[in-house]
Amino acid sequence: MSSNESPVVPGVPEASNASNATEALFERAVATHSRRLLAIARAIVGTRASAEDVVQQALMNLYQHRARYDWREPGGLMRRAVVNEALRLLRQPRMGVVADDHPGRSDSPARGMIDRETVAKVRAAIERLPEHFRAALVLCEYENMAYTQIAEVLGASVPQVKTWLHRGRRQLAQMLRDLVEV
Amino acid sequence: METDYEILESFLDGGLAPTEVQALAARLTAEPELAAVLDALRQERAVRQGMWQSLEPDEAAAQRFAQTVIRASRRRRVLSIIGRVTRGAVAAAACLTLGITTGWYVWGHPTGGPAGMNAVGTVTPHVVSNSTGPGAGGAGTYQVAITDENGNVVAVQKFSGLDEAREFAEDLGRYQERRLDVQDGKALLVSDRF
Repeated sequence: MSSNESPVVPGVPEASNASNATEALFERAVATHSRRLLAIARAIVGTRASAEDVVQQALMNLYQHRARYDWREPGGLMRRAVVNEALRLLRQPRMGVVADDHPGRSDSPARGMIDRETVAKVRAAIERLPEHFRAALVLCEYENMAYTQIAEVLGASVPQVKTWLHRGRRQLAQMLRDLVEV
Repeated sequence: METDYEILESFLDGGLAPTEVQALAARLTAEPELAAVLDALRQERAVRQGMWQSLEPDEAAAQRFAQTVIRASRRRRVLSIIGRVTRGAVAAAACLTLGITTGWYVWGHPTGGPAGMNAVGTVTPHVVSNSTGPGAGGAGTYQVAITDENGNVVAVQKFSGLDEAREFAEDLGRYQERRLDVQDGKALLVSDRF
């Protein structure tokens, strides 16, 4: 999709005024990045909050101050907003467990390799990790972000991020030892 | 061993410098145990990759969510415009009201404003109160009200003592009588002191 195209979202009419370029860029960014943003939010908040609520709140916060941002390359901005909103939400008093409306894509490429039970166990194990470990892991392994980018998003130093990743992976390995043949 | 784990994880993350990668490659060739650990880490990572992808909603659900967010942003935009218009209208109405009130007071009021203040030739001073409460400008405050011929208060002078207030009122009364005499031709003004 070129940068001059309007967002194409089924069921939503396009922005009527051509001068609303920022709005149009925002809407295209939402349409393009929602799927991955929802996955990031779900990885961090687990079943302790609704990933949809987290992403929507983060995006509406960005929208409120949309004139401040460069919407031509919004991926990093939106990831940062979602991660911060998810972590902010987890710092609040403990909430009830949210039902998982999207237990997994039926067309997932990993489906053939890893069965649903294994995925559920890994998800449960990840949910037991400290929140910053989870955030660092999802940004590193799912978003393939460099250590410096992760450090920037999480407001931490690169050595701190490396420590979180290392400890998170070791704790996961401990919890999932029976799932992987070494 | 922990250090080796960290090096191998950094390698898989793409976080090693080229020279570090070369050094690790040499070690992996020379140390089969280290190569086995690397394979194990790769398997763990493959399991996690499947888990990360399982967190993604399907495309239709993601688009439904995107529509929800876009509609919410458009609602907020409309509400923002309505808010701006309303605030502008309220501000304009407030300015208009202030302007009309000020104009009425300065030019249109029959006895108030500068016209009333100019009636200094007919002022009538008298002590009107002895306020001693906390909001009356201090303990033992005496006020002398100066009124025009219509009884409108045009000024208030405060004194700390009753005698001072009475003296000011009497002086002002004598000055007023002298000015009326001059106006009526009964006296000749040789000094404005009284």
